[in-house]
Amino acid sequence: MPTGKTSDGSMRHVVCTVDELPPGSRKIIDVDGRSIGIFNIGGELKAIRNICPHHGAPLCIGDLSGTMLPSDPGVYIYGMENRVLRCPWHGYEFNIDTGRTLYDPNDLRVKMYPVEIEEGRVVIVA
Amino acid sequence: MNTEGGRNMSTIAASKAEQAKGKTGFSLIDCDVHPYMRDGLFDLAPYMTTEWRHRLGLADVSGWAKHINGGTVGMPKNEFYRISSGALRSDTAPPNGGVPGSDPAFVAQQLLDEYEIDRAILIGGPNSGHGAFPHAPSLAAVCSAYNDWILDTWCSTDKRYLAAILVPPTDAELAVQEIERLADRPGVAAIHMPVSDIAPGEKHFYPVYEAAQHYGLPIMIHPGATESIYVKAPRLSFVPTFYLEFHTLLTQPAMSSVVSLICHGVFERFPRLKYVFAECGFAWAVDVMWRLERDWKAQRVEVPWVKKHPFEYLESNVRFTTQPFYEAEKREQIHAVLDVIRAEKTLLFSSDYPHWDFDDPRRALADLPKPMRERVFSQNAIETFGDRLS
Repeated sequence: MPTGKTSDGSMRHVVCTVDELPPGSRKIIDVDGRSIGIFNIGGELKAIRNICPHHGAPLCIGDLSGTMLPSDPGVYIYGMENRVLRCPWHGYEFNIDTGRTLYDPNDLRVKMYPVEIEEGRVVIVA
Repeated sequence: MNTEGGRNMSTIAASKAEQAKGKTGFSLIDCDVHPYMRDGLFDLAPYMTTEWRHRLGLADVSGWAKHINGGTVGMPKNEFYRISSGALRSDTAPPNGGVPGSDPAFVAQQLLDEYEIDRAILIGGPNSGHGAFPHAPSLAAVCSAYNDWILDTWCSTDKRYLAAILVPPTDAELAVQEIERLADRPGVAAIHMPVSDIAPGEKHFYPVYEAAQHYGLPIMIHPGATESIYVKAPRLSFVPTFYLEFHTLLTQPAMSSVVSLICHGVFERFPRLKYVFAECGFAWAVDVMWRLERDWKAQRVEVPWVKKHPFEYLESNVRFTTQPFYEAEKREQIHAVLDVIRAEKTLLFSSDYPHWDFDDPRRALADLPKPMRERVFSQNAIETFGDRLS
């Protein structure tokens, strides 16, 4: 269901209606052979490639939660609630705002796509 | 290994000449040399108070009582394993008699002069297993006496000798007192902390690490030869039957120690602390660090203070001594290991004189890549021990 080409060659794709992706839910769709997960996190939409760059696991079926933030030795600080997508295979954590790994943002990175609401429909650019 | 002695000697000579232009002028630093007392703890008695001499059974002891259980105090040592090849190099006994490694002048001649060693870090031959002794104040008294003895009878006689001062690992407060007492004494270059059953990452040691960092003294760990023999010594997996098994497996506690230090965030708390693993091997670090590195990526939530890659802490804070250097089938195998463990920063030359498995710097390290030789023979030690060497 492409809705038009963007300047960089990406296509706009209608995912579903806004009502079909309420806060706290996610959808995994196929876009020209690419599996992409779209998350509604308290009204904020995120679209991320459904392949873990580590070993290729279906990343977007993993838990979305928080994590222990980098801290001083012996101290636990829980944060980033609903900003951390954890791979269902090896448990690698990805920042859902950047697509980068938590242990080292310069190591692995998963592709993210722009997502927006247009006339009551969720649209991604991919 | 098949090496041509001549070629290696000339390589060292060339490297020495090059290094001589450097700041310190040191071209060969031996980071594991073992001095011995001629008469065991009795040599230390003059450096103890009357109270401790009596308490430890080192005063008024008749000759035979020394050899009877309970006649005098005994420090933990290898009680099980006979070393068939001889525990010490048989040519290291001083010409005027006595125990090998007990005559500073003869050691200087046979080791330092012979190999042109500029500085030698002394780690007491019989002391590495002392951490298993059950009464920490007694151990602290032995440590203090040993330290005064080594500074008085070795370090003051030849500036090439530098002491790794002995501290009791089982009582951090007493260990810190000893560090503070001696930190500024000439001849002190490191802290030798005998192994015990307390993991090095535990909070117990933090006062010791704080003092070590404050005074710029690296912590040195050495196999105790007491492993799995004493309850308070580190345990090996199973109790080995033969010395060959025992000696091969003495690296096990070092593996646990590196993992413990990194996972507890010791190098986050004490970023300038250097931890030297003497005679503990290092090829195992390939496996251990690869495992830790991989698992950390998934398990970092458990230790969120491990903010850097485990390998980064290895490079900045952990050091290994070379002896007993590996005799691999192919030189390339050694090079691969050295590459993984960041040997250009982490590896320090050691001979382990006068032990039976001594490494001759002209021959044992022939497989070191040329660009790394200067770093391993001197520069890494200069960076690790700093001004303490001068």
